[in-house]
Amino acid sequence: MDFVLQILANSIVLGTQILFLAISLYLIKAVSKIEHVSLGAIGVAIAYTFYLGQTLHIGIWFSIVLSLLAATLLGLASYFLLEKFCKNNQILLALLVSLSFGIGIESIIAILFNSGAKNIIDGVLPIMSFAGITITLPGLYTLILGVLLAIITYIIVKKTPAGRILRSISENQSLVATLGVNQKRVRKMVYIIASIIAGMVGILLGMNTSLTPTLGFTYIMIAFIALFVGGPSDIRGTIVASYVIILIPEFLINFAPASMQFTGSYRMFFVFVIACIVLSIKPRGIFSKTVRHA
Amino acid sequence: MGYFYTIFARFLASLGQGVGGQVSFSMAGIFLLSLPVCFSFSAYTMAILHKKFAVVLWVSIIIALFLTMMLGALFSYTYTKVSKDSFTVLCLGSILAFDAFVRSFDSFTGGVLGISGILRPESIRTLPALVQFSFFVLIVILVAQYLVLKSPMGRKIRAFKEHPVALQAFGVSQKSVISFVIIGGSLLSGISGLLEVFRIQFLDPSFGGIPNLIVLVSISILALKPKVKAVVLASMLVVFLPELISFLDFPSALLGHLRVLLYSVLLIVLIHTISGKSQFQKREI
Repeated sequence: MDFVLQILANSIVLGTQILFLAISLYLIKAVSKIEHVSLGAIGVAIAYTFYLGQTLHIGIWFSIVLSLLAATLLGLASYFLLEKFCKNNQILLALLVSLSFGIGIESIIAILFNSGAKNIIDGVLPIMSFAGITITLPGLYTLILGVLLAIITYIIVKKTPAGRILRSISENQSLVATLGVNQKRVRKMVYIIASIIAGMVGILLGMNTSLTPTLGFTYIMIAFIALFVGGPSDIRGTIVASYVIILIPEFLINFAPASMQFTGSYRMFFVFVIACIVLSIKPRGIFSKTVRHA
Repeated sequence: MGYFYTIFARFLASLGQGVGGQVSFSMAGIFLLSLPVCFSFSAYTMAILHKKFAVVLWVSIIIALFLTMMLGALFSYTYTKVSKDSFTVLCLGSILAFDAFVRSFDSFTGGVLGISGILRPESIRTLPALVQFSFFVLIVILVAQYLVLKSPMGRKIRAFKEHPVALQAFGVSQKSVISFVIIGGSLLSGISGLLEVFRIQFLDPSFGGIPNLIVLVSISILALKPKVKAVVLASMLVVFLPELISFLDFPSALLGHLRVLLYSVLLIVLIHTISGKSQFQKREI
């Protein structure tokens, strides 16, 4: 039983890491319809900035300020790169630009820091044990922050005027403009907030495991899949799918008959199979609604 | 001379894949981001059949290409079933899924260590012979592309991008156009994968993947015009331009990263330059 609970706890931490990125993707998609896949690389770049601060011994608060600065700059860079495509409704071209931007960032990180793994926390990771479950402290922080983020995002998006503006921008840009909303400023803010969230998960990931330049890509792809499996138009779908597409593969890997010998490297393969099954049954995601166009 | 042959062989392999990319991305408007999977899949299938099951090399090449076409048919079926956004997600996801698959089935694929010592067929054993063979294959592909562009199918492909519903209204099956483009693109990518693996004679999970996708997309975006010479010039630019870096005095460990960085910057600049005046621009009726 303890083993099952441990697997469940590990999967929930991993699912929460995916949730962070999926929420960032959701926010950007809500205001610009763009799938900003370079968020994974942006998160890792911010984590490397934090790591740089730590290695320069400038203190944790200065490292955080440095990371926030990097997040703002990368958020603004994303905005300026992608805004043109958002205006022209060229979503797939924007995806390609975002992908290239992410790969460019990964290359720059590899050139500056080399491809070797870097640890933000040196030595043994601090852990906590509770009811037979052991969890690392960065894992626990991930869990707490992730749950808070999910609740706050849900409330903001669903229940506040800011959330309504957010959703209406992607629905009808012209109408929102006539209501006096400065769309450019909203989008700029959302890009910066999304970069900060991606940076948070990057730093937490770096604390929990090791940092490598390409670390963000697999995570952002899983988050990307979670967004579409859940249904990109509903934040509830993003939250649920982030956990579902992690829990099912983890349980398959750990509880399949020994003869099948599934290892952790099968995870992405199972995620892909789940996405294929769900999207072939519900092409617009689990929480999608049928929309009637005029 | 060896360097020249190596680069020229790489150019020919990229050109083959570029033709598939040009037809699917630029002409049909189908963002077939799964082409790197077909590139790796054909190479792995051929290597596994030949090395693990002792199938005759030419037979394993034919089986590999046939199976790559089947994989293309699977992607084609998926395209007709899911939304465009979801298809893009699945295509990108398939690159990582294939990578995971290759790493996991190490008894067949060699896992992270890969498969080494892949022999070329007897008739193309040396690098110059391989380049000549690749050149011949590419001439056949380019002639076929020229004929298709001039045929009713070429017009149907372009019409599919402009207005798929109108195409259907004229009695043309959308599915036939989609299948032709996706299966054809996958086959061309598979052929390129085989030419590339015969050049390097080694396979590991990094074969194909995202860097390959960036090269492919760069060629496809540069070769916007539905002309054969456009794809040839685009492939030349994309393959030869980063070679300038190798003449600069950078440490060898950095060269790979610099090349990828150059590709990504090139692609961003290209898309920004071309998007405003290209065929990608939505035309209001």
